[in-house]
Amino acid sequence: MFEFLDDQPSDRVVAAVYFAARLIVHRHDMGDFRKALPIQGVDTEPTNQEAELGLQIIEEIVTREKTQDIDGLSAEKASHYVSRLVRLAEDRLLKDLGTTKPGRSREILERWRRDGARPAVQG
Amino acid sequence: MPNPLILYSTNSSLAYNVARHYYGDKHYVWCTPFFGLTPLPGGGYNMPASSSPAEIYNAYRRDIASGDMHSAKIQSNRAGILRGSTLMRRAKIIDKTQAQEISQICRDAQLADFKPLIYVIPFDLVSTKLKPVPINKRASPFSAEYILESLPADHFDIICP
Repeated sequence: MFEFLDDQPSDRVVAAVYFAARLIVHRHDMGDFRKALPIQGVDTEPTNQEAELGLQIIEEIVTREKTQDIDGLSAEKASHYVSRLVRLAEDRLLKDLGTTKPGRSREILERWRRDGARPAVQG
Repeated sequence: MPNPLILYSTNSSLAYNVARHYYGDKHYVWCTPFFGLTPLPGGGYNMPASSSPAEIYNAYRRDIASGDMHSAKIQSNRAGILRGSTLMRRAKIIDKTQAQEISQICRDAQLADFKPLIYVIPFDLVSTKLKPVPINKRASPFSAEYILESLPADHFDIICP
């Protein structure tokens, strides 16, 4: 599934997955997903090419699930596909970038857990 | 609608920490003047659940409490963090090693690392930096949403209920 992403650069895959994931999360509040476009005038939005790939991802899901639109996707299926896509995007990025020193990311996460945020109000 | 006093945004602790430690404490946020779903007296807006900071907060809390690591909300947050890292690398704000770290951090993060935080943003501090989400791109035509692409840490407070 999603083989059409295999030949794409990892940055583009990440952008397409981000766009597709956003459409899935907002699926109950959107109209026809085929008309969804990146937000204009915001530098961090996917390019039209990346958004096209994102829509292709959704088309493949809709076809596979035999639903009319992503609105018909259950919460369970939505989670399944977003998880799968994010894993794919992470794999592609890590393959391109290489891995970090073993244990480094866990050390950082552990430090962040200890430090917490800088709350203005904590209940 | 008159200018609001406050904008609200719900973000994961992981996204907050990545921005704090790798992007010079500049944060990318979607925000809105309406915290919850219940219309104010006089009405005038209709906040969709998927855009409401209160509902997003509740969704994170629910998914964390139920141990749902595969929740679409949490996974899509990971996608957003990865997306941010590719843009920041392109902009030379981070280098390849830092991009590696962020990708690996996303992979190794546990549910508790996505604990939701509520950002409280005084409108006047950011009014010139707000990018409104055009009406046909919003989740609902009656909601009010904005994007802040680089929100400095001293322009918002955090609530950890």
